[in-house]
This record gives sequence, structure tokens and C-alpha cells, in this order.
Amino acid sequence: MSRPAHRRPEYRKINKDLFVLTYGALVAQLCKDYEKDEDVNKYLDTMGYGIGTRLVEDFLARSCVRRCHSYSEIADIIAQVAFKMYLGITPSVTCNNASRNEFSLILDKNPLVEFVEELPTGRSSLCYCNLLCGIIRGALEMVHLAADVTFLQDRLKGDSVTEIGITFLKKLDEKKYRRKK
Amino acid sequence: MRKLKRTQIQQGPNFRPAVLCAPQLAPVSARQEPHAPHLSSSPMHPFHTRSTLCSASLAQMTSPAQDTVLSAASSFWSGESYTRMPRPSATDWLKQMTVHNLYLFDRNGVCLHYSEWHRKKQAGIPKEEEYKLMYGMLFSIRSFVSKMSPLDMKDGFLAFQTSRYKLHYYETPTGIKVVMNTDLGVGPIRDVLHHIYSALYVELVVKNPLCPLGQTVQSELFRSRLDSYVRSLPFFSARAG
Repeated sequence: MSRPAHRRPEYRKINKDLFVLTYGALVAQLCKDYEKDEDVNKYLDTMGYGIGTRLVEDFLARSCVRRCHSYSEIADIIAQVAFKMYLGITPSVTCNNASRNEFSLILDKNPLVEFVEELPTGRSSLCYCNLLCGIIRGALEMVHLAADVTFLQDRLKGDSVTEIGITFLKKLDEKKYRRKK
Repeated sequence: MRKLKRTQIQQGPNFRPAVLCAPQLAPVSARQEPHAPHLSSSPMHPFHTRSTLCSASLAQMTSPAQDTVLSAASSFWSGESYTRMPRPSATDWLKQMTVHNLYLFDRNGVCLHYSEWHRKKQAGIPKEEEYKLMYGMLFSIRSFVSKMSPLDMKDGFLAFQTSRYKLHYYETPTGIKVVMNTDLGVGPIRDVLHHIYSALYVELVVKNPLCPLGQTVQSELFRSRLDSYVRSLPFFSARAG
């Protein structure tokens, strides 16, 4: 039978440990498959991109955010709404440059690395959470914003905080489709 | 003529509405039709039946005073009271309202899904052409609306209506467009279209890793859930509207 017309679908939660351990197993398998750290990072980013292109639809369906008018609004929404919704954390947002297109999300608590003590020897340039970068990049591209997302600092590599840098490159003009301004 | 009316009305509450309705009434309502763009053009619409019109005008005659009655009657004949007629009851509208068809487009203009429920007239062109035409029109209207809006645009293009149907539009920031054609009596259904996007498209297509994005949705589950959802809507009437 059909669902009643206006009942919100119940979003099933899964066990956080299961999610974190699954992610860890994924990264471990990728490390076995690829020797070079850059390849693992690249592959994590590609996987994250595929996830992000679909996750953004779920995000828009659930959060009903209004259309943003500036990059800083977008960065705020990513940090305060999206991260909260999917990872349960709220990173803080800082703006890195005067032209207002480079932002940093500072994560003081990263649930994905809960069971990771340190990077394995020989894997010193592995970006363990590179999936997140790919997700953000894929999601932004689906709303017509090209962005460069990388890890600027990583606690696993010895830095004090984990920092994700988002650089907004340009608004993707759909030729023959919507033309903004 | 005036004397006759006075006599009829003074006979008391047991008048027959049909007596007061002269055959001239039909052309009057037909003339008024172009000025009431929101009404269906069907002559059998309950709004145009004689008994409704007569009982409407007579309902205004609450005072037994003769001049009040006379003025009401004379204004009735001159056609002014057309605007004071009561609205059709909710059940009348509900019987008429229905959903004609639904389109789902993605950001590249690909028609992800199309279903129809009550469509009496086809476009006369192949389905592919029809989808392109619909998408092209929506794109043009959207850019027109954003350019020509005299105020800051909040939601943009929402709906348009003709004398026979109303087209409702909902777009997400990712470019997914939900377009539904309904009958005229249907009000804003943005939440319905949002539900189709969020609870049906996102849940059943986007979250399904085996459903590739960017092409027509093949999922039978999506088709059947969408069909049963639309049929369960309060403004959907199974009788062909």
C-alpha cells in the first residue's frame, strides 16, 4: 500500500561503530590494493565524489535549506547543517582569504578516526578521511559550484587539528540551461 | 416586468427558483464567462446551473422590505450580482479536481519519468519532442521570471494556469524539476511536489546504487509508489475530470 501522504519517512540510524569500522576496513583494503599513497587518496576522493553527487539530493530533501547567496553561507551550511546531519559534529568555519572564496572547516572531533591510533609506517602521506573531501566536492558540483577540497591539516599526521580547506573556483554555468546573473 | 417580480416574491418563502429564472439567464452567464478565467468552461459546471444562481440571489433577500427585495432583484437581472454568488461547495470542486500528468526532469533536460492519469488530448508530437518542448519552455519561463521580476525573487516560477489546466513546478538546487498538470481548482501544491522529490525520487532512485542517475528511471517500485501516492492525494478524483 502507499505511504500516507504527508508522513515523514523515518530515517533509520545505524550503529556508529559499524559505520566507523566499515570505513576503516575500506581504507585498509585500498591500502592493500594500491601501493602508493597518492593512488589511495585519489581513489578515496573518487569514491567520495560518487557518494557526494547522490548525498546532496538526500541533504536537500531533508534539510530544506534556502538558496544561498554567498560562499560563506554555503560554507556555514556545510558545517552546521550537513556535517551535523551526517556525522553528528559541527566544525567551525573560518575564511582564509580576502576574496571570500577560501574557507576552512576545523574539526575538533572526527568520528571517522575514532579507532585509528596512527597511520601505518610507510603510509605517512595517506589522507585517511579523503572520502569527506570527495563528498563535499561532488555535492558542490551538483549544485553548480566547482570547488577544490583538500585536507590542510590532519591530526593523524601530527598536526594539532584536522582542517578541511574548501576553495570555491567558479559557478558552473550550464550552457543552455540556467544562467545565473 | 417589475410588477410581476414583486408579486412573485411576495408569495413567501415557498417560491420555486425556476420561476424567476428566465431563459435569458443562459446567455448572460455565457457572456460573463470570459471575465471569470478561473472557471471551467464546461456548461455543466455546477456554478452555472440555474438553481444555484437563483438561490444565490434569493439568499441575499433577508429583509422582508419590498424595496430591498426589488433592488436585489433588479441588480440580479442586470447581472451585477454575478460577483456576489456563493462559491461552489467543496464537494463540487473535489469532484472536478484531478491530476492530469506528471513529468520529472533532471538538470540536463533528460526526462527521468513521465506518468499520466487523465489526459484527454495528446500533444500530437512524439514523446521525445514533447519532453524537449516542456523542458525548453520551463527553462525559458524560469529565466524570464528571474529577469523580469519587479521585486527580489524568492521562490521563482511556481505555476501557470490556462482556462483548462494548471501547471505546477518545483525545482531543487540540483536541477531536478517536478512538473505536475492538474485541474484548475487545485491550490499551491509545493509540499506535494517536494514530497514526490524527497520521499519518492530521493528514497527510491537516488539512494538505490543500482539506479543510474541521468537517465530514465526504470525502477518499477518508483513507478508504482508514485502512482499510488498521486492517487491518494486529496485533489485526485478517479473520475476523469
